[in-house]
Amino acid sequence: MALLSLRDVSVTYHAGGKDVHAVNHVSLEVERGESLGIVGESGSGKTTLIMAVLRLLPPGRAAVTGQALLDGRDIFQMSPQDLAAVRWEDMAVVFQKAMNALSPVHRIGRFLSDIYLRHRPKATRAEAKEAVIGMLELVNLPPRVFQLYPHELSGGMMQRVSIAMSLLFHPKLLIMDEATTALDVVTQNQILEEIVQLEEKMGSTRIMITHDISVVAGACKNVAVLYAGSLLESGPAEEVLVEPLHPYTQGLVDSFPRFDGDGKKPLTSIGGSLPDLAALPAGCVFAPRCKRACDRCREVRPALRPFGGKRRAACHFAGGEENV
Amino acid sequence: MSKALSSERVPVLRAEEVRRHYVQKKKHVRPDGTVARRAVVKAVDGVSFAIAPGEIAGVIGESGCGKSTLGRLLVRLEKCTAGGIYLDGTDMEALYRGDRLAFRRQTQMVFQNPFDTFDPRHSIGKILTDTMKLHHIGGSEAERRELAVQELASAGLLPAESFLDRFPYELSGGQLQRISILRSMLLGPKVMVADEPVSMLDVSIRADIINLLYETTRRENTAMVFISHDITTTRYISDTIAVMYLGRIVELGQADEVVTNPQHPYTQALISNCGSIDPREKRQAIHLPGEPPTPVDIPAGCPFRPRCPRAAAACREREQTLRDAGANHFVCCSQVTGL
Repeated sequence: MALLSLRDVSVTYHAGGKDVHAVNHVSLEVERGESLGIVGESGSGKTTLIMAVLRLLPPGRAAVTGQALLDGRDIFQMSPQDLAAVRWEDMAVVFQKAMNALSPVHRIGRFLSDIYLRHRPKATRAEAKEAVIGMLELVNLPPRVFQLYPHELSGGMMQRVSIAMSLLFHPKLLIMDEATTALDVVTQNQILEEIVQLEEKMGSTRIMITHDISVVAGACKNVAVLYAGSLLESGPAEEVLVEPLHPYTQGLVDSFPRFDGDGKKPLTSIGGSLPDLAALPAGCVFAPRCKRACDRCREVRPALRPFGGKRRAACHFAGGEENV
Repeated sequence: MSKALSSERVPVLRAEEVRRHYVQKKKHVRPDGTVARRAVVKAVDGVSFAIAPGEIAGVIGESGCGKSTLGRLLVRLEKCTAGGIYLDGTDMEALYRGDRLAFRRQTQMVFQNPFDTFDPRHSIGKILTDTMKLHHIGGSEAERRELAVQELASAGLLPAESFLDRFPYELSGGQLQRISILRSMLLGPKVMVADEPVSMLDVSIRADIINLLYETTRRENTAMVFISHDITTTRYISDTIAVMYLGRIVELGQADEVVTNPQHPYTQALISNCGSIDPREKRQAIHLPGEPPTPVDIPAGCPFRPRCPRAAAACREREQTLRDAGANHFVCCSQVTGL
């Protein structure tokens, strides 16, 4: 059984008298020990999707349908008590802005110990301190960080603290939402390497949300490509990013400048812009920007089809013209 | 942006030992434990270079290296603490104090965030025609609107007429950034500074902005300083690249040469950590110990020394200067260039 299984998840926001379809019928499996990168541009629904999985969407403002099975239990149906027990213990999240994830008026040690004690009510302060310092060391922070306030840390150190915080209870699933985007390349790369190493040690599973394909290429085994709330392609990163099946994935790959060769391969953009999420096209969501789009693409939304191994793509053209 | 270029071609912009220091009046603990009442932030600390007409010079570096401050100095949005910047051989400070509008026609800037660039209550038409009116372009309002339509169309914003009566909030980041570029280029500037012009934009549309910047500045023979933390994009657009660290240029040379044959230990580390989108391509990343520094209490001698894998005792004492390492490639490291 997969660790996390998303089945036909949709999220609709009600805004300005309109229904904004932020996530549309996304089905996805995350196996134990896997690292999945969810790639998408702004408005692709990548953050909405994981906020739904974490049950952090504002109640009443967003309608979530479908199932999100964590170890077979549907997160969407959990009671607040069950949810509180699952958070941190079974799944944890690291956000982009570590500064906002920490309390500005509490020392790092106090803040992390409180979380520890909330989940281990029988533990003593000393035990909590030991656990927290152990975790800080695991992410290569010196024990003195325990005594410091968030504002005394650099961006990289703060992000390490939020990673340590998320790993306190060795969660089965770690979700990172653009967690290294705000960091400098050297620090980002270092932290990514450390996370991959930690994962091998702890056998944890990771979902990483990012707009940066190079982060996925460097730190994730599998990739899922989201566009306008729909899953367009998924599979092993080594296959999807090298030989994409979907024209959108190909377009994304072509918009990145390369290091190899003379670096002067002309850059191409994907023309046009994201469709209005309140009035999605009837056919393929990418058809309005797709060079290959035909009448069928504009009328029939392509289903996500398997293409051998773990690859899936939602394009009438994928795998040859005969499907058109 | 190489030193040697200035001897071959007459530079349009020349910076000589430019410094910009900020004074922070707050209590601050020095690395040795003593307490100071004020701290001097040396954002830009002795930068010299020249740029020829039509040349595109990339400036790369991590946050806090002073690249944005340098960009603001180059268009006189900030005043140099020391040193001088010369536009066509004339001191920029004098030009700025003289005819401000004439000066602005010669130096323009494109900012990072296109959503903050425009007055939200002005239509795109007004934004463009007001700029023209201020700088005496076009004889009548009708003529200026006609010109605005032409410019919008040339930047690929079609149908151009439909943009005139729209407001900034109705447009996407990519569209706004194009308007920001064409508004700057309307004035036919000699120097354009683009500070992270694509980092706020979605990846799939960045190429259009990069190509627009490239084509318009080449066409008008405008020199451009392209500031970015993204090495691959900077290499793509630039003729030369300068690498900054703690307010100084540590390496300078032809773009391809700097990226494929980096000499300074910092540049080597930076480039080795630059991600590829091909999962099969695994480069050996050079780790740098310690935290990215802040431009307060910059160590004496080489500022990179505390994190440098090649640091020697001599690096502590010696002031490092940019020296020729051959092939118009300048490096600020005595370990590389010798004395």
